[in-house]
Amino acid sequence: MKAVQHNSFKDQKVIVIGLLAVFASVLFYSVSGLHVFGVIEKGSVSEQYLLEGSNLTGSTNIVNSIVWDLRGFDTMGEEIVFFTAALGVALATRRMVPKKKKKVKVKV
Amino acid sequence: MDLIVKQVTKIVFPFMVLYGFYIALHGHLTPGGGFAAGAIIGSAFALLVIAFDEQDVEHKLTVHELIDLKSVAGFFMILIIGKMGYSFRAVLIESQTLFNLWSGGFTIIMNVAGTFMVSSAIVLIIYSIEKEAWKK
Repeated sequence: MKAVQHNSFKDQKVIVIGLLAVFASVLFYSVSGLHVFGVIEKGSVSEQYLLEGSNLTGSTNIVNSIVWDLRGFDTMGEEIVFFTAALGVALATRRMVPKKKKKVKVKV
Repeated sequence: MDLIVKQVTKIVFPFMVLYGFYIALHGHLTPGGGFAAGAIIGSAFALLVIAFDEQDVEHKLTVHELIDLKSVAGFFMILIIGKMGYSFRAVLIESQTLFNLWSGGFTIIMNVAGTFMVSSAIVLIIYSIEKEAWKK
């Protein structure tokens, strides 16, 4: 009985290590494809933002223009998440009013 | 809280709110924006709630009023004005010049709407938690 448990535990370990190795290799592969920090690639979206961002959105703060204008739909989703979190806190800490018990009149 | 905290809060509070609106209105020119401005305004109201006691604050606001007025107003400001901003963006940008206060097209509108949204959410969270603490 004990040997069987030990074997299954060992199998689990092998599976977990294999999965972790696959996950790590995928992560390293995706990271190795990133471009060099500080160098603008031609034809990338970052070049587009830096060169034409202030003309597209009319604002000189590029970060703000990306967050609130070019990616404005995503920011709206963030705001909805925040709104829902606040509503959840208000719901969790609201004051519960207990129902009044009806007095039962007993006829004698 | 102390008398010192109360007096300092009375003096500092309007300046904090004013600074928050400054950050919101200059979000397209200087660092900052809707999230930062909302956090500053929300922290000002949090200071107000923490410094004063129940009898000073609770007569002026209730949780239901906060939910009705501020949060929903900010939420629908984001939805409706944001939609309007997207459709009128070209017209907005044509009427503006770069580096002026009235520039930034759709960004300036969205910053103000986001400020209302974030500040109202923070005030709602802090006020509901603090109200629960007062009860006990």
